[in-house]
Amino acid sequence: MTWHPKRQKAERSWSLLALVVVAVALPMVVACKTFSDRTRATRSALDAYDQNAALRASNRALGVRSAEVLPDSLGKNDALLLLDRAMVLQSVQKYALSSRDFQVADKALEVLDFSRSTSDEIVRYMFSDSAGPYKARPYEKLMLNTMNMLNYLVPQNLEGARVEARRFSVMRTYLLAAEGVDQAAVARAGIPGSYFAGYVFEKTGAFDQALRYYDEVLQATEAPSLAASIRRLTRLASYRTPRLESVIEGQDGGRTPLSATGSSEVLIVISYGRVPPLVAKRIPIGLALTIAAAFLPPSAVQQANRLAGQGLVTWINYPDVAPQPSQYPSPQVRIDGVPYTPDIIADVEAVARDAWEASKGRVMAAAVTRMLTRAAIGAGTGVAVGKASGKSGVGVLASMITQASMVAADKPDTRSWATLPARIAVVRAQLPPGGHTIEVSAVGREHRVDTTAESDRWMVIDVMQLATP
Amino acid sequence: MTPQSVSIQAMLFLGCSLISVAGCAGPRAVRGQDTPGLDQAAMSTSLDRKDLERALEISMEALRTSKLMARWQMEQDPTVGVLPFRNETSEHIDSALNALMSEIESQLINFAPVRVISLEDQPALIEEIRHQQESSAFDSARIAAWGRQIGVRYIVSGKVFSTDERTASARRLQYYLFLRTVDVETGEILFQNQAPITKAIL
Repeated sequence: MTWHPKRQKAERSWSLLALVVVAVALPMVVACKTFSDRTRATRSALDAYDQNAALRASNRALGVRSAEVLPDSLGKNDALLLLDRAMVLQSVQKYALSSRDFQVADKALEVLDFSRSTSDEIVRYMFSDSAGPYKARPYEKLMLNTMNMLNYLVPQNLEGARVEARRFSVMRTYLLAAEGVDQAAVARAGIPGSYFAGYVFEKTGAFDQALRYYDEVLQATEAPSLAASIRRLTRLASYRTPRLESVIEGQDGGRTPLSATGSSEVLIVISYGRVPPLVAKRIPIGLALTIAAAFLPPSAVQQANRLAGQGLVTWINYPDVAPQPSQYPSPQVRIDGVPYTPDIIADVEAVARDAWEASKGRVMAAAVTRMLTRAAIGAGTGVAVGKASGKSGVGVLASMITQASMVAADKPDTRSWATLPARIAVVRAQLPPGGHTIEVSAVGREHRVDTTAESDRWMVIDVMQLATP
Repeated sequence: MTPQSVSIQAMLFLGCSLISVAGCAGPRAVRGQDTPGLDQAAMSTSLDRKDLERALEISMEALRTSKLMARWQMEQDPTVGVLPFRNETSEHIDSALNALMSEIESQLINFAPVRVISLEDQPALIEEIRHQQESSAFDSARIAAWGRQIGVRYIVSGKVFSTDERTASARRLQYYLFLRTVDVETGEILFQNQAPITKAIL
């Protein structure tokens, strides 16, 4: 080997410079808070039954002054933040603004879904899963159009509701055929969307289409609140399945068509509770490897075990479902003082938990892989700096600094749509024309709606209580 | 590991770090005439002005060469009303369809031997028609009834359907814009044309 003092000096300078710049650059990519930390204020306000404070917190998270304003450009997490704000806006019955936020988020998430950024993947691989733009989970995609359907149904805009129903169907059809997607989970996540879409087409007069949607609901749950509608629709349409036939043959609930009685039909939709957010956690490396082993190559498992054995790595950062009560008492509904039993059509919380459990191993494997990358880069930096400085101690120190910086940068990806309701329940009732009082009790709060039923008309009443017990 | 390769590693790492912190120029407002090609690029799968112009060009060309135009030329400035378009797609294109309605009125006023009675001054009526259009029972007989109420001889109406398909890496929307003209007295459809538009995210 030939001695080149100038070249050696230059390499030494480059290595030291690189270390300095890394030390400077890393704090810039390391934000102190995870996504769920940034959105906690919104959830806390909802838990305090203060929707206006939740709206202010949502606006702050988006960096805008009011709900009328959209961000100038949508950053990597803004679509998700818009979904949060859309839910809060819906809970305060600002349906037009909520719908606008849902639509903008829908388009943005669609584009993000198709985007493949190499730089995002590299940063994600080296630093954190949360480094790239957010890609919505299947159930979140279905719930987006589901919740937005309500924004059109309440003001009786059937044309807008039909658009959302069609968008929901396109997504559901795609997900059911997509590779690696749990079809049963999609079917369960789609229950409320299919229910509302069926209602939209029932009220449009497209009875066959309505029955198709109602049959989708029956594929995943019993939905007793649909029985009377299905019986009525099968007298007007020809679409049949064994499930629909079974409902037709069941005991008649006694509900008569609107035109026969001159009554008005009310659909009360009660969305209550909240799905648990994801929070940052640390887990011992041994346990992480147990969970992630199936998703890692054997060489990676060996390498991780070796590092763990040397005591160099003891913990893995990863996101987990926040501890939150998962038992919600059924909401109480009274119309003019008469109690009605709500039909709980969706356990969104269970869907969200199951989706997380299904992805947990893969997420943990990604965290272990990043840990191995950090170790390799740390070792490389240590060797380089050690040789450049001529002192192995400096190299060890550089290695530790690099690894520690990268550990700090490894923020668990706690992004999820955490303002979705935990449950969705419905009540369908016939009301005689005139004034009525609807009282709903959900998650410790009473809601009272005074309404006027018109002859042979329908109305949707949306009660949303996004607090947790 | 040689110092050279370590330096390269460090540089790669540095590059990745900088990519993640690098910002880009902020958004700025621009004027269409100052920015060549601004109206050419598709921004989404929704309908934009270029799509509407294309659809209108196809539909109006078909109308110009139709038997209906010859009939209108024989009549003494018959009255025509244009109804709001029905949206049967998976996109919220209401404002685009309203623009289309107005553009069809403009074209009829400028090029067809007819008198156009605008519904714009009758928002309540438009709202009522929209409400009726939400029902699947909305047909040419009902359109003719509206025409009689408005007091016109012919009614131009339209609807847009779409086929919406999605894969893991793309979404394609094929729009079909139907335009028809109905004789208010008989309910007979005298002209019908379809203009296709395809949009996608690839």
